This record gives sequence, structure tokens and C-alpha cells, in this order.
Amino acid sequence: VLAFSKPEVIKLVTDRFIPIAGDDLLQSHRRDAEGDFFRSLIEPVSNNLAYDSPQGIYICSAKGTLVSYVRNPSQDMDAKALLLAALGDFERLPSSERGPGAVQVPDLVADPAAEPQPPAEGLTLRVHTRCLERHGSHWSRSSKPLEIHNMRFAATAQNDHLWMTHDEVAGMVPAKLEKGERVPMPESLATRLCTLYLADTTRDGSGWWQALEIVSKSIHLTVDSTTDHHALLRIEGSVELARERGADVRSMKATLQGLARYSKDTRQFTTWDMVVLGELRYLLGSQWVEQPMGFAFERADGTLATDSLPPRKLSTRMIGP
Amino acid sequence: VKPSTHVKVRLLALGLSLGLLAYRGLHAWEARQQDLGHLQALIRGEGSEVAYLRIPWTTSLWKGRQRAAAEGKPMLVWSMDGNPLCNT
Repeated sequence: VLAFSKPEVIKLVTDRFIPIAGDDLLQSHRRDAEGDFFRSLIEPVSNNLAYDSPQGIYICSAKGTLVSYVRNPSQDMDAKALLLAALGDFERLPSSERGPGAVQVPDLVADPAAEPQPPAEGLTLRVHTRCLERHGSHWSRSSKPLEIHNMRFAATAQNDHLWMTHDEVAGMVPAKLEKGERVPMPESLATRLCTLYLADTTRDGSGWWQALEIVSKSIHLTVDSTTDHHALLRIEGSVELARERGADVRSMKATLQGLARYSKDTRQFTTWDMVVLGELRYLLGSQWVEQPMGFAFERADGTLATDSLPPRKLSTRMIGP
Repeated sequence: VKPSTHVKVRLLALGLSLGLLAYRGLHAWEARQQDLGHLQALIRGEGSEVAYLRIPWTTSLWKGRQRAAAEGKPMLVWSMDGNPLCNT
């Protein structure tokens, strides 16, 4: 993402391109015209790859003519030079495929399996996961790249989405909205939270926990105060997880704290701010490594392009066999 | 019947106490929310790390293709194993 962090690159992309971000595995598995278009776009590149994954940056016309491809965009990449060269190549295409309105693109009859929708009247949360450093009671971002299994990873956050169903939302509202009333987080949601969202997804794909790896969990919502129109609730809890899968041995103890505002009028949570701080321990060779972890949750209000993306775990299931 | 001065004073004291409690409660809530906000920002990231989100990305390849055709612009398709806007 740092390749797109410079102001001149942001302006160039915004003004001169149509920027699209997607998951190559999902797109190549779609059974509709969008999948056909993506497969035709990656075909000339895939034939030259020693890998299965056709990931990278593709610059092309709406007709599908590829003018530039970069497999591994890095922060050191001269993105501006790449974009300007691609613009030059695009301008040299026949006007019949690059002029405004020259190519007709009909509306899509989408593969419904490729575009899962969030539960009706549920709640979507943005989830951010990051490896942290801890000095006493002070938590800070890691200042150096993270290393594991001889691989280096930028110490950036990973982002995901958590979908709550209508029943899960309703289950977090005490029957009596009075100060001090308390309910446990619904079992299905608490389990999903622990297994899919309190995991180190920053460095490898094996971070997700299994339900049987939950040693203990206690998560409650307590009414802090109420007015005629809304109730303020505290979210508090603690979680312990542990795994022994062959050489993969790890554990984590974490505490949750959060605040949520519930509207009595719409029967929806209008804010949800929650942070989980955890101490992950894992065995690396014969050494125990301690890694402080931070997980932040906030209500997705639809203002970001990413708010419509499904949970990552759901995306992996969509690819299927 | 008019309340006595003594009752008036007690009512005023009760009102002030309740007001103070409400203020303290609200203040405590806002303080907690501020603390949470700091931690959320720490974890979420800021500055150059999230500058790429200032680009008006679309996550629909097809809608992007339709816009590119209508506006006569090239498509910049950033496609990774996992959406790159989430999997940094």
C-alpha cells in the first residue's frame, strides 16, 4: 500500500485512472461476465508465471487490452513513472477502444455466490489487527519489520470485517434497558469473534483459531446509562486461547473493553468502539516468542469502499473446491 | 402550599447532586471513549500507512470497467490474494 502513499501518485491515480481493488482468487472464480473479463485479463500474465496466483497491478482498457502489469508492487517502486508510462501506452491504443463511450459495457448479471450480502438488519464492524510493542502499561506500534519463519513482514495493520446477524444484535440488548443490566455476548458471535478476529493474521494465513482452542471466554455488555432515545453500554471481557497442532504451539490471553450506543428508536447500535489487547505467545523452534497484539473494532458506516467487502473467512469459503 | 425554605434548599441540593452525577457520568463516558479512540487509532494506523485510502477505489471490477468505458480512462486493477485494501 505504501506504493500508493505519495501525494503525487494519489493525485495521478485519482485524476487519470479508474482505480479498482479486488481479490484475484475471488475474481478468477466468478461465474459471470466479470469473471470472464478478469480471466481474459490475467491470461497473458498467468502463462508466464511459475505460480498459481496472478496477483499484481494490471493497467488496461475497458475493452480488456493490457498495457502494463507489475507482479509485486513494493514501497520502493517508482509508481509515478509506471503510471505515466502506462498512460502513454494507453494513449497509443486506437481511439475506438479508449475514447469516452467508445466501448459499451452492459450491466452485469452477477454471480450471486460471488457477492455475498451482509445480514439484513445486522451490524458490520471494521476490524483492524496489528502487532504491537509493550513497555509496561504503554502500548505502541512495532517500529521494525516482523520476522517469522525467515520471512519479513511490514508491521502494518490487517483489516477485515465482522458481520453480525439481526438476532446477534438483538441478543446484546438487555430486556430492561436500565443502568446495571447485563447480558453475555451471544455464543455464536463470541465464538466467531475469538476464532476469526482475535488471531494474528498479519504474518501468515494460519492465525485463525478453532472453536476447540478457546480455553475460556467471558464477554458481557452492561447498560451504563440511558435516555429516552438511546442507551450507552459497556463491553467488557476476557479471553484465553491455546493451540497445539504439531509444531504450531501458541496461546493468547486478551482483555476486551468497549463502548456502544444503542438507539431505542431504530433498535440498532449507532456506534461500536471496542479494543482488545492480547499477549500472544508462540513457539518458534525451541524459543518462546511473546508478541503483544492489538485488535480494534468500529462500526462500518458505509463511507469507505471497503465497508462492502465480506469477512475474509467467508471469502476463502467462496472459492471452494 | 409553598415548600418551606428548608425543603427548597434540599431540593436544590438534590438537583445539583443529580446534575453533578450526570455530568460526571457523561464526562467519564467521554473520557473512556477518548481512551478507546487513541487505542483504535494506534491499531488502525494513520499517516502514510493509510494514505492509499484517499484514492477513490471501487471494489467492483465491473462497475469500474463501466466507468472506464464511459470516461475514456484506463483501468488500474490492483488484484491480490485477499483484497489489497484490507490485506496490507
